[in-house]
Amino acid sequence: MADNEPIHNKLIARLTDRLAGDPELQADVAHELQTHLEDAEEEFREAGLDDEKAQQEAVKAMGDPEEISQQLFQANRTRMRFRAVIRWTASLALLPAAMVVVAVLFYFMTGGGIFDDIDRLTTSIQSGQLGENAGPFHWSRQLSEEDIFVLQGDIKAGNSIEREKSISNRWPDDPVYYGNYFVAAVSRYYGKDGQLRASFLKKSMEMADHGEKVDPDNAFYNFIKAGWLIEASCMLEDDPSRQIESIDSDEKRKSISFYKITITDPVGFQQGIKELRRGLLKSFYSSRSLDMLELRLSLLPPPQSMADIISRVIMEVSALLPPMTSFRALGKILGAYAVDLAEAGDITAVELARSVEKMANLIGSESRTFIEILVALACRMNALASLELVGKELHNPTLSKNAFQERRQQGKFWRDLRDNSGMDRQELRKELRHAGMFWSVLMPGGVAGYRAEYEPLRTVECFVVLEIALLILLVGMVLLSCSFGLPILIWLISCRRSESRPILLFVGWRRIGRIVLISIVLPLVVYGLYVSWQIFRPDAYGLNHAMGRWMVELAIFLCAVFFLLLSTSYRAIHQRCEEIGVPVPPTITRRKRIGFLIAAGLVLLVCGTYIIGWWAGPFQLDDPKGEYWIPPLAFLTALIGRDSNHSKFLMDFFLVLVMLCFFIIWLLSEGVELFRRGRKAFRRTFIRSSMPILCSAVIVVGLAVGSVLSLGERCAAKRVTGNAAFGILSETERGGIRLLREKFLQWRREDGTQAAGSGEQAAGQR
Amino acid sequence: MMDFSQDLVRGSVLPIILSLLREESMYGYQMVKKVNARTNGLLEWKEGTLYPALHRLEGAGLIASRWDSAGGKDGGRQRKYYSITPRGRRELEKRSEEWKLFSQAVNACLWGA
Repeated sequence: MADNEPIHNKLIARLTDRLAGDPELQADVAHELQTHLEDAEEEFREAGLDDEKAQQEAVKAMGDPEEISQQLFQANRTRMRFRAVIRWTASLALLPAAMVVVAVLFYFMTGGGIFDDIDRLTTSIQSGQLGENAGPFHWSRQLSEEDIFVLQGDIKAGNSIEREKSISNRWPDDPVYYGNYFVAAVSRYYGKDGQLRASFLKKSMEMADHGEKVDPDNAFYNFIKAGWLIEASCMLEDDPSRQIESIDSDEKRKSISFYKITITDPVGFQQGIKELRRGLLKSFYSSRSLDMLELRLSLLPPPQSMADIISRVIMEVSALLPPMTSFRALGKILGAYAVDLAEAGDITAVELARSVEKMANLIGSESRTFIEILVALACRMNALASLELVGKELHNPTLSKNAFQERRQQGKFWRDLRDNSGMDRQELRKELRHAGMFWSVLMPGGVAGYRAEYEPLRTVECFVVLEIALLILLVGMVLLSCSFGLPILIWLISCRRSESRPILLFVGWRRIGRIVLISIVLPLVVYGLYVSWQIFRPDAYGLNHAMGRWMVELAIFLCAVFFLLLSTSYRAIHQRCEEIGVPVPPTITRRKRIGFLIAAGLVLLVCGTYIIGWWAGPFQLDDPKGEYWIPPLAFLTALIGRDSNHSKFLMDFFLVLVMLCFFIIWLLSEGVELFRRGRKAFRRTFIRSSMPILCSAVIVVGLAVGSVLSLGERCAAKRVTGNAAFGILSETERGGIRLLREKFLQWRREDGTQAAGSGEQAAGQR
Repeated sequence: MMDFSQDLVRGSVLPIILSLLREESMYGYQMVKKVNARTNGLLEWKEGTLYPALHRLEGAGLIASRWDSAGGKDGGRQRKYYSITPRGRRELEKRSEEWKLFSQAVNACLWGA
């Protein structure tokens, strides 16, 4: 039939030349006429005519070319106009429309302050310090200028410390503002060993001196100065020659080493002791940073949206905690120093050890955070242990015995509180799985009878993850569209006048609908339902437990969306090209893809087994170390032979990596097909024509993300409102922590008389 | 073979195409063959004129088209198949009724039946 082609082409070109304004329509009509001519010629040939005669007859049967050409133009004129508008929209307006949708979405999301919140959270987690007032504060309702200033400080200031400082500068006499700035600033001066860096000692001392002026009745500044000075002027180490009995368990009695010190700067050391004694004369203790948090929370109106709740929760989670390591060191060093004094026969050793106990009692009874109570407990333990040794050295067995009894009582009180909290440790461990990452960071496991609400925190963090997932999808779509858009732009510029300009195909509404339905709407609906089931079920898991699974599912979801989108678009364009007679690459048969299909099956099998196993149970390790990092592929972990948290995390990460690598390999291997010889026309048509499809997809994803988020936000907000105050502020008012604080109050009431009593005893003995 | 006047042929194309498609989806060449067979060659179309008519009907929403390779003798060759839409069916009913009345009127005038 090759000989017929010149006549064919000539006739078809003549018939369709008036349609040249719409190359796709022209190609479509030409292809239709060509099939007609081929059918006709075949029939003539079957009737016995030779090739040449057959084609002449076929051409003749078509009728007058001029008349048909005119009629074809008339019949398609309206359609051409309509299609021109669509083409114009697709090539010019669709991209800006997609950009507008994305911009609007980003605007509303940033308007809610969520990005800042996420940024603030990740910054504080990365810096290892949940104590950052890291950025501008967003709130949906109008607040007064003064309130906003208290919430975020001077936003022009360079960093968070400067922002906190600006608040204190504006109200220089306010002890809460200064205390908050002080804690923020000195927290940065601590080294990794938990000790104030020597180069910052002078500056820190000056700041604490100023704090004492602003807040004269607060013992906090004196204690912290004492801690710095004493820590800087001696070296602390274990001393095996000083043995005390451990009170960790009633059954097993064993001895542990106490400490000894080497004083390197006696003047500084004595100055530190002086500061401690001055602090004990003060009427109260407060680190002020929690007061600041309370003040800030009280300024905020009741939360209206999820963004409000997230801001509030993040504010609580990232509350500044006082640097307690110096107090902890004070307990150890002064305990050891008291024993030194006693060894030298100095009876002031008793008073010194009692001073440490008093400090612990003051901190413990006035503390607002659990960490302060823990430090106070440890300090009191050290003080009592040192009193025991001091009693031995001063030949005062009563003192020694009483101190030991007190130490045992404290240990027993703590154990009782923990063991009789009405909660089995195993149960508690199980509960921790549901509590979420924020909660787990804030709440040490097995805390004496204290259980904070974790529901709001868990919902909030799951919502943030969902938000991140959808954003990744949207950003991915935008990147994909840009990666197609750029070559198109370059081409269009380079072949503005040339004939080889690629055709922009319209694959048809039905095909576009199918692409959007299969590759976007369905996966989004399925994923959305699955995620909301995960978040809102009563026994939902927290991110601390399920982070790895979330990551794997997210990777599957994203890869699936992009895979479906690209393959359905390719198929649609391939079909359309075939229809209009553009030479297309052969459809790849399943047999040719067998390797790829096996690999895909394997990857899906591993991921599917993992997820099913995760829910069904076998891959959830009951390893206590595994609380914070993810139950992984138990069998793979077992193969590696390690089960540390680290390797579990690596496992999940590995799985995600496999998914992504697989996706990229698929993309490259299929993409190579486009660049083979003779595929130029198809390649260019494909790339140019995918642009409108991708833009439509971006618009649909944008709208879906917007509606899913607003719907999800409403659901989540409804769930959180009402118990949003999970309560770092009130943690010392609740459960076992309240009982501990009350115990400290009791010890504090007693210590005045006891101290006087033991002092008299010591004097009497002398 | 009889040479009908062009006006008469043009006026009959629309109901003929619609009535053909009422039965099954067809491509252009198939329609031509079917009409020739049914009218024993009396109504021999100029094949080329069929396509503008098809495109006009498609533009008016009376028929719809899709490319398909199914049903062809050689299986692989893509052909553009046309099918009638619900609107096309209504139009066909209207036109058939119109034709009936019209032909009755013309017959009455010509032969006084």
